[in-house]
Amino acid sequence: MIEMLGLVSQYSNLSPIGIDWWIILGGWVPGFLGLALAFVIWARSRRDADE
Amino acid sequence: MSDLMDSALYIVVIAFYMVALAAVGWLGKKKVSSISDWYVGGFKIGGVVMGVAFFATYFSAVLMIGFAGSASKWGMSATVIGMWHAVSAVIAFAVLAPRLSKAFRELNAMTFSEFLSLRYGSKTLRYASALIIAIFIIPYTVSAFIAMGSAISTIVGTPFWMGVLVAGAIIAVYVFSGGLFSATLAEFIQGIVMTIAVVAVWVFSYSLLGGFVQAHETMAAIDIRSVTFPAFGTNTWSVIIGLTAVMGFGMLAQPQMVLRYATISSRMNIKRALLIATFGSLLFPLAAYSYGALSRPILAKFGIDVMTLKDDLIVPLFVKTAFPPWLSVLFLAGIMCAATSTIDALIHMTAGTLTRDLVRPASKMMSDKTQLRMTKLISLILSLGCCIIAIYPPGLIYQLTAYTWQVLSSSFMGPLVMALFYRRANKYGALAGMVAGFASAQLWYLFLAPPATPIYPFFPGVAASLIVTYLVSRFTGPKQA
Repeated sequence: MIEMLGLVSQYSNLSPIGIDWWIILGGWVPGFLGLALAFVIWARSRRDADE
Repeated sequence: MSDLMDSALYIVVIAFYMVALAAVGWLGKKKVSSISDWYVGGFKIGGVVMGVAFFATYFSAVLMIGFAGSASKWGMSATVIGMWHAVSAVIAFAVLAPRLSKAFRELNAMTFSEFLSLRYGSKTLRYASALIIAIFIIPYTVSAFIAMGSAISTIVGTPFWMGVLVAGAIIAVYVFSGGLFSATLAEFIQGIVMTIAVVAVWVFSYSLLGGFVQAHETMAAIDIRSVTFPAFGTNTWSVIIGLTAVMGFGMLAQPQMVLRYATISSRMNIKRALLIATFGSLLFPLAAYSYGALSRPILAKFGIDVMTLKDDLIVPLFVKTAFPPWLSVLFLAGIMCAATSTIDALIHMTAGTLTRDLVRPASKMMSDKTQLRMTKLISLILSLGCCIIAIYPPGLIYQLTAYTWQVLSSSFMGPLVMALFYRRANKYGALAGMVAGFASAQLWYLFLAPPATPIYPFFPGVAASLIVTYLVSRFTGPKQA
């Protein structure tokens, strides 16, 4: 952990989970937003079908 | 557990798998009564089955072994490639599938080439696209057989040819019997097994390193580049960006993928498939790229430096070195499922294309019944022929496979997208776009591909295909559809 704190201060792009923010913002966020969008589209189609 | 018991367990798993797939072939055979049933499942395949079949086809053993092995060197930045697959799945099902499935039905198209031909009213387009598919998909299928045979022989210890022939024989049986019905049903089962396998390995890898954050700290301690995004313009940067585009957005114009998202039974089922396909397209590659990256610190504990190994050897070594027997067996089952679920889609699509788009037009008197028989026969010949080529592969196979996805997406992206979204798109535009995309991807690959420049042939190829299809359609003739 001490080593890690040293690395975090040296590489300011590291997020609290120990991965570069660029990886999270450039990959993980778009991926989970895609999944959220898919869920919304599916839920709306179910609601429309029920009505 | 002794080696003998391990081998016995592996063989039991393989035998069980073969029996299960034979049963799928038998089930599919009962459902096939017309040529449409074999080619496009009679447009009756449901959303849940197709959603899983989609990502099972999308991700092969090459991701579980090859790309995951490369990820051990690239680090966690490789997960960026995987996460964008979910975005591509959303585009496939939310944007393209509704229009494409409607168009396939209205035109009564049963293959990708037939769709292009009927939409644009051009036989040339049909022959040209079918030829491109045959030339590039067959080597791609062979390479998938090679990946599977290598993985099985490394993990189980059986001869390479045995793994290839086992896979080829079983795929031949169920694709021959039930066409798209059997293929998607098999892919449904395969998709579930392969997802359980990669998620189990993913969770196991994190647990070996003491948890989620601790694992990243251990990676950073070995090499900070394992947890950071590569610097702009470096070789790794261009690989990550290139693969994100090719494997993500390039998928949209792959004929075997188009057949999956264009043949769903209803709009409601498209929405169901959207959710399931997106979930699978996020979870599976995230897990595979992550365990690949985590394999580096885990293997380091065993005194193995992955940077000295060939990418393809890293994951099999990881399995043999660090996994308990139950996880090795599960992973082997996952590899077989991932490989066969991709290969069956390629065999089904290529057999259909060869028969319907190349052989049938040459033989004008062919009845539907004869055509169905011939397609089944060609699927059988293709399965076994690809096995034999895989056992004795010529060097050209690797050269063709290396850029299959890039060539197919560069050739077809323009004609496909414009067919759906530009009413004035015509045959001149589609043909010009296909030729421009194909040629520019080829030329870029020969002269300007990495390492000469950091840009993959996919980018100029797809751009040329889209722009040329649009411009030539705009400035030539009346609309065709």
